[in-house]
Amino acid sequence: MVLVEDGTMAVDIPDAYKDYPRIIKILDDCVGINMYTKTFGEGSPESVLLDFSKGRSYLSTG
Amino acid sequence: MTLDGLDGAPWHNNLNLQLGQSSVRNLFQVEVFPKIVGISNALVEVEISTKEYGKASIEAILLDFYCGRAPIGRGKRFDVLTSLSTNEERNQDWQIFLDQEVENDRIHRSIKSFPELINTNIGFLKGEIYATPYHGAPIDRETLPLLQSLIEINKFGFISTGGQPAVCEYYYKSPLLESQVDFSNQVIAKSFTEYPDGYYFADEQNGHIEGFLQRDMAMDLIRFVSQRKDVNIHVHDFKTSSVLYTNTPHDFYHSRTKISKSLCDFDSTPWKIFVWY
Repeated sequence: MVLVEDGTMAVDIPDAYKDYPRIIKILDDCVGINMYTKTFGEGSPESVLLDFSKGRSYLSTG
Repeated sequence: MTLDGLDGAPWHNNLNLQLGQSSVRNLFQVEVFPKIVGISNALVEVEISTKEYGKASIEAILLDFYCGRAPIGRGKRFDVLTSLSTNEERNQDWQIFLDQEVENDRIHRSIKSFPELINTNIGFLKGEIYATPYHGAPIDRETLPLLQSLIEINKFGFISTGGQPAVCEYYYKSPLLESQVDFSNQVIAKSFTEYPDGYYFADEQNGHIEGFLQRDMAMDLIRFVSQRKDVNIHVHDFKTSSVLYTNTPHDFYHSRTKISKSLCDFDSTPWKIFVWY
């Protein structure tokens, strides 16, 4: 757990899964992503990920 | 009195609890402000806060009503059953909670592959699985509008584990409207303690999502996001925690709030900023 400034707890994922070594092994092949919108109250990182997932043609041409 | 889990823990002004529904009803009679933040079939997730800064502790109040065990959950929640409910209700609530814990543990121990982990996370988002090791309760209410998108994102291969919607709230709260004030909102309740004559409040937050992606897709995502002007991204290696890529400024903050006694003071009141780590 990591205490952030507002007093809530941000979850430490490796710590949360420490009792599940098989899941840790699966995540060892992963990267952690944090994505933020730049403007308060506007946009959604979910829509960016959806664009990315649907725009696979970008991956083949990019 | 010795209290398993809570004994010796730091004393807070607020706590997250999971309670049986009958216990929650009784909680409103206790000297705390309860805020219901999630409901499942048998349990209600509640945030409670003391009514005055620094003058009481929730643990002390709960100790007065406490009967039974109070283990600290694997996630970020405390799980407490108060003695306000009857023994039969408490035992039923407790047994249901224990059964859910056992089942969640079994499900997560059975995961052997990345697709199975994704399917489990989708099951959690859909409410088919009560909790995950990273979130010891059903999804938060603010997640509901994002649910369909999150399920699609997980199907695509991004295991989402947290975040917040991009919302801004600005309001004035007057004690003259006290009867209409939702005192189950702990922010409002705390603020009235500090500003008994009313206050102006602003809360602004960026959209945020965090989760995991298989390494071979990460570079494509970084290329994709680097062409976007509306989002920042921070990528780290799960195994080593080393930063692989970031375009997120070091001083970036995801939320800010301000509260003032009068409208005249509002503009000059400094923002309180919040960062993730």
